[in-house]
Amino acid sequence: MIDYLDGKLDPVQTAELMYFLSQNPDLENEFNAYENVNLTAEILKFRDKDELKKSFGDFPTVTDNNFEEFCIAEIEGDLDEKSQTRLYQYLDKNPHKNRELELYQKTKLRPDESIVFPGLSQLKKHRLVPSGISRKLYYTGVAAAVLLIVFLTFIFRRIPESDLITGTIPVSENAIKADESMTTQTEKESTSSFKKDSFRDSDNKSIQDIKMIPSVNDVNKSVPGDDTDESNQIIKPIGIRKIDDINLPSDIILLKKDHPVQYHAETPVQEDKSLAEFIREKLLAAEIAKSAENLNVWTFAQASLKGINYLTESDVQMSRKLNLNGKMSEFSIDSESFSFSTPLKK
Amino acid sequence: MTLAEYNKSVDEYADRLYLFIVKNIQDTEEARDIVQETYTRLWSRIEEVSALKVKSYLFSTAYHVMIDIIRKEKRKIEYRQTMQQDSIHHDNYSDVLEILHEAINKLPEIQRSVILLRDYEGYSYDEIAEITGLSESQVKVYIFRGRMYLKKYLGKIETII
Repeated sequence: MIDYLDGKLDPVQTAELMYFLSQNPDLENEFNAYENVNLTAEILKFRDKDELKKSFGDFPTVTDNNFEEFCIAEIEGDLDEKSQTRLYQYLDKNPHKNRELELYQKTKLRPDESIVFPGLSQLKKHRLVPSGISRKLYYTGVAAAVLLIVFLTFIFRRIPESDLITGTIPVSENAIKADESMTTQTEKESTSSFKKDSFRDSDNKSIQDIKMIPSVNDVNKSVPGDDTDESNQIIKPIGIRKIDDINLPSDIILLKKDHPVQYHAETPVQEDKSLAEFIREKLLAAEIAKSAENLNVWTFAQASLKGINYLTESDVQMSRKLNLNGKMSEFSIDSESFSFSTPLKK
Repeated sequence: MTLAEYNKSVDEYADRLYLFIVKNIQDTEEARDIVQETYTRLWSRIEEVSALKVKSYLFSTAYHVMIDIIRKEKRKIEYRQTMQQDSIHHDNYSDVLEILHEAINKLPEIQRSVILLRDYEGYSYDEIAEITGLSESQVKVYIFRGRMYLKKYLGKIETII
């Protein structure tokens, strides 16, 4: 019981004691009575403690026993005028003691001015926030600017490549079908065969005009074929060079066998994703994967910085510390060339 | 305190802080780390520490960081000091200061610290008490004991010389 009251029992022993008491109710009452007997020390202070203290002036004289104490007090500047007088009177009577006082005076250290801290400038901090502007407002503005730049960049990058390629001639469906019926020759042959009637425009009219540009070596050769020939002749172009699309009439379809053109007519249109889905997929996937929390301003800021790092091929890192209330207490930005951190008001 | 006051404290106290730590632990690299750690802690509490109290804050923080390191590396420091003692004993003493600094190194760390704070920085007893976490009476006792030891050491060496 005494060990229990002194707090020396472990949990197992305490449980055993409690079980024993539960089996012996008469002892339990006695035990409970003892539990209430517990003295706690009162905290009392002697009010006039300072009055009990003495100073060197309270010594009536300087003696051999307290001489060293007086010497130390002298070099520490603790002696009043009266005590100093007593000390020097003692030294006058005991001149061999002057050596002792001199040695004590030599124990007074002097700072070594030659020792300086190397790299003093590294300890200093430099203000990144312009004066007169609150830090929160400044950081919010920076984050908003970064977000805007990244959003604009990624929006423009979403434009499909097909829309940006110039010189593509949209081809009608009929022309595609006509092309499929053509026969091609091997690459060893410098010419290709076409069936005249294979060329049809979007209105399914037979193409009458086919410009065939003779090669340089075949200038004097006559161009086979006749525009008015309606027989199913095979027209063999002597040589077809690339013709700038801009110079062709709009109803002529140029099929380049040596340099096939890509057909983009009636290509299926990709369904554009919504902006939110795009952002979520491209920018925030990694951030969301890291955290189970919902998206917040910090997540967006991190994603924005990620975008900036990608565009500028840099590695700027942004971090924060949260206090016990979950609020940001410190904010820092680190990169290869600079490092900035600042505690925030709590 | 403001940013300007923080940087001013770097100019005013970094060297003195560094000197205090170097004389205590006899390790320039460790002393540099302690000073940097001290100013890092000050920076993290820049909003709470006033410019008027920055000196005592710096020395108090540096002192406690130093004590923690001393206790962790006590054996290494004692070995280093022993090696230094052995090397010095073979030299002729050029002046009293050299003897004195050797004597300082032999003092217990707490006596050494209070004497350095007293002589290098001119702190009062209560200021030293605040920095070191001692009472004013304890500070006086440690200074008294330290001075006695230094005086005896000087007297002994000068007698030999």
